[in-house]
Amino acid sequence: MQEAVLEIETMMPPHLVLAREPVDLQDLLACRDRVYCLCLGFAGNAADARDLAQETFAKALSHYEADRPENPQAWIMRIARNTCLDQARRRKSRGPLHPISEWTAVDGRTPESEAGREEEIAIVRRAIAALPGRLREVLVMREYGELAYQEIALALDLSAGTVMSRLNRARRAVLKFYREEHHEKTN
Amino acid sequence: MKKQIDPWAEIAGLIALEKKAALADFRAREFAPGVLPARRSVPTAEQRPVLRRTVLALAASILFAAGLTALWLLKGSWGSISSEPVLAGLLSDTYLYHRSGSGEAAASATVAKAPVNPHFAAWIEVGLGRTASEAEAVDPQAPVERGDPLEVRRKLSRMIREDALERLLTQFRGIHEKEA
Repeated sequence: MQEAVLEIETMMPPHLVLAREPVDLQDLLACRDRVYCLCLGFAGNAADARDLAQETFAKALSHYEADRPENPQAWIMRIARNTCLDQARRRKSRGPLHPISEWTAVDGRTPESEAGREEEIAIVRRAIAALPGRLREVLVMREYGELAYQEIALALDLSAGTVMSRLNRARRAVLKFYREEHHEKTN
Repeated sequence: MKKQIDPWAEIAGLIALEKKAALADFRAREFAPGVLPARRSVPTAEQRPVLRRTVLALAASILFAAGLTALWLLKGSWGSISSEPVLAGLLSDTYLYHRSGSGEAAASATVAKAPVNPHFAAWIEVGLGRTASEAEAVDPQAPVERGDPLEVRRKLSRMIREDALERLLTQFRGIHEKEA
């Protein structure tokens, strides 16, 4: 645990180094990937997602001592969501997906199949972007951030039932959009 | 029996694929959790045109205001600016304009001189401290188009220079107080 704290501190500028006491920084760092994926879901492109994840951690580390959250993971996910919404308000999402070359390196697929796959993913992204904000944030938190219903409810200050209802509506809307778009592309 | 496929599974698979690729890229890069991303402080390419548009709009407004002020200074007042339709002047030589009869209408349209009320000129003379007899004889029946706007402007300028209006106001106030 102490090693993890020291490891994080070496990556931080001196003014942000926290007090040397057993804090839940490891928990925070453990959700790095989830925070990044959540940012990816909101931003719609990898470059913005990276910046947003970094901004989220910068905010979290500077406010950690003051806030002392009971549930650090839910807390940082809430910061990530707010950071993403702030950014969305500042400017519209650029929208382009990850470059195709990096996909091939991950899955070893052929460029032709990847082109088709990327087009399908682009449709999904458009479908998610077309959702109303309150449905979109629930879907992104669930599908990209991989948060449990209870965690989403905690982060958004909603009941679990509302989260499930919104998630269901969001999924149906995305499916409808995807099928219509996909049908148009294939015809 | 045919197995029921979850309709969401395909979408979830695509999202998982996107995340997988993006995460591989993210992990390969350096991540400094405590540092604010530098590119946020620099205006992005998308923000710059907005700023440029604002500056251009501001510059255009300033130029427009300067133009109006220059016109006002040159002409002396808005009333002396020609009211002749610019379009009519431009189109007066064209065939279609003549055919439609607009050309004749435009040609017959004359720019009336700014009318000057003779009583107004007399009032200015009073303001300048002259008596009615000293002032030019004013014919109340004279047609207004015979008034000379340049002369009126000259007198007005003089009146402003010599604080005649203030004196007039003082006189009026005195009269008003006496009557009261």
